[in-house]
Amino acid sequence: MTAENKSLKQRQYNSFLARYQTELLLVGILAVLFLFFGNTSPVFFQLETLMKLLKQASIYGIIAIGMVFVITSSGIDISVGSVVGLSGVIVAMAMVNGVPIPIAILLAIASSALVGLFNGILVYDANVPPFIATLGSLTIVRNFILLITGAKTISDLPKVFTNFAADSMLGIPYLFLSWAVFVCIGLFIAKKTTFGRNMYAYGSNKEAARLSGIRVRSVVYGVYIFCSSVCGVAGILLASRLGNGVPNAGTGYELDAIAAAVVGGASLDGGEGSVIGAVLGAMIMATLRQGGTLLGINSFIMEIIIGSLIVIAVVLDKVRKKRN
Amino acid sequence: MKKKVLSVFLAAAMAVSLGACGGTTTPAPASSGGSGASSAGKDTYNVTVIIKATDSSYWQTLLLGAKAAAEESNGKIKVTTDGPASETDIDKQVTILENAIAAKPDGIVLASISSTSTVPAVEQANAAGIPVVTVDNKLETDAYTQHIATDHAIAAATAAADMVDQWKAKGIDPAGKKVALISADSGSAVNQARCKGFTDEIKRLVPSIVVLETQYCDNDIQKALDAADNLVLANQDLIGIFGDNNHMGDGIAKAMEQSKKGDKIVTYAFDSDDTEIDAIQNGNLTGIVVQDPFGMGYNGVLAAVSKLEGKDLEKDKVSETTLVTKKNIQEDAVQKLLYPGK
Repeated sequence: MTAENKSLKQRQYNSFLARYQTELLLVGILAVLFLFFGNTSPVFFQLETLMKLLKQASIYGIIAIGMVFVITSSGIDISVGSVVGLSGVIVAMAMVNGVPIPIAILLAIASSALVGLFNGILVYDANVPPFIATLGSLTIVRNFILLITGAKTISDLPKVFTNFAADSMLGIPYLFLSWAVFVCIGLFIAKKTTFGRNMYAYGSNKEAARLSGIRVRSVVYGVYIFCSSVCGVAGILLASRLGNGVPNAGTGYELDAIAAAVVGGASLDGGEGSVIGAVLGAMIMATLRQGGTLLGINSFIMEIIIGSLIVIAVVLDKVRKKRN
Repeated sequence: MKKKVLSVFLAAAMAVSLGACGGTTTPAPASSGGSGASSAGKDTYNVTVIIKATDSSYWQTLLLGAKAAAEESNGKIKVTTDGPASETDIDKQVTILENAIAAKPDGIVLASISSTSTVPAVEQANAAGIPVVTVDNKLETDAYTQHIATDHAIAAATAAADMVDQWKAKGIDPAGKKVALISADSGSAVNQARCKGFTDEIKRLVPSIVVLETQYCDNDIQKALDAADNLVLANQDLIGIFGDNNHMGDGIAKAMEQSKKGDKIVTYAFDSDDTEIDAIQNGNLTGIVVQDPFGMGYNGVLAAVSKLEGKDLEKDKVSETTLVTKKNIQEDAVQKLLYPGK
């Protein structure tokens, strides 16, 4: 009886370990980083520094959640940085022209979602490889932004709007709370909905998914629209944080988002991806960047470390999967 | 400097009054302008001004300066402007330059994107007796008439010198304290020159100062904001930050606004934008180093004409920069630099 009980517990424990191995590995890496920076920098464990870290990770972290969905479906979206810029500029232009803040926000998210729909149509209906399709959107959207703004920053945004990113509730920054909300939404969609299950199925085997009657179109449209909409929110938060609608905002953010997702265990072959993993991936990168500045480590060395970490995380993950 | 500002001001005033003339007494100026251009023959100099990119307000400002020189000349100088859409269109700019030379202008003012690609065309123009004044980017040839550009290292050094003065005014003793640099681009020669100019001067003025590791931020405002935040957190004795372009300035100013350290840390950046101008007025940014593209266009055209009139020119000319702080930001000459053409 006790032996059986023990073995059941052991099995449950083992399956928990197996299922969350990547996440546990990342928590371990993060813990090591925290201990290292905490011991070498006198300010790292101060509340203010930790809150700044959460703020600094939030916007990248939100984009990474969108990216995980696309990567899990065996796609890729490199237009996310442009969508971040688009959304920030649209929300700013709308507010400056007297549109009420909630409507301005909806407008920005709707236009972002439209980019996602465009990506989805290109990938599913026109059968364009996702990298090429979203490379096209990256360029089109960025230059559309430059066109409508005349490459000029949009300033004089309402104080209520710009204060949001600076303020906090009970000491926790709103930026981080927003990120937490999207983590919950992402987890819910991935784990509890048919769409989420279909996304994993489609990502691991497209043909099997098609044959088993999954509505593939809605999966492809869905992941790209979700990703772009989430980036739209990130763009609005970034505009709030910068206090301006900045035409070149978000440039290059796709690389950080892909890195966070992949460090977090997402496979570019599709079928695998974890929201929590992406969150941890984004946290690790932000921690390294902040720690690097706190300790005054040479920027180039720091980026080499971050690049190496991405490679090591992926290699470790591959080795582990092979062993299983 | 004063003289130049005055002349620019006069040019602008003249442009306005000419425009006004055209509006009220319609036939007279139109006909005189027409005859001046056609019958004057050798007395009219056609100068072609080619910029790096038409999509940038910086280069548009340079064109405004060139046009002001033409308007001021009372028909003696005619300016034609051209340029590729973006600063990456190197071959398009070469084509534009070749076509311009084929049209046989009297002089050319060129802001070349590449320091090598345009060399053959410039040498060809030189051989054909067309003076070429280069602005901003220096070419790898001697076949130019005059080169007018900002000396980025010297300009950044003026910010360092003023930073030391500001510390003195605030009663901060800089000995042994820290300054930080936030750079938009580790690979750009211009940004490197700015950072080196600042660092060398601040170390010369305060030998015991500690210059922290430069933070590179991919010209991203959020990254500059994060870097400035982290620098402030980690270094209680940080008393100065230098950002090497306007986006770095925006990020630094945002960090100062949120940390409320604007009075304890002296912050300077390079180039101007509206966010920085607001920040200077609100005390979140101490000052900016502002270049003078208007003056480059204006002086470039005049240099080409001087050459045609047989005058000797110095081969390399430094375009002046201005340090804009809360103290002088309302002055007319400074406003003219911040809002050219307004």
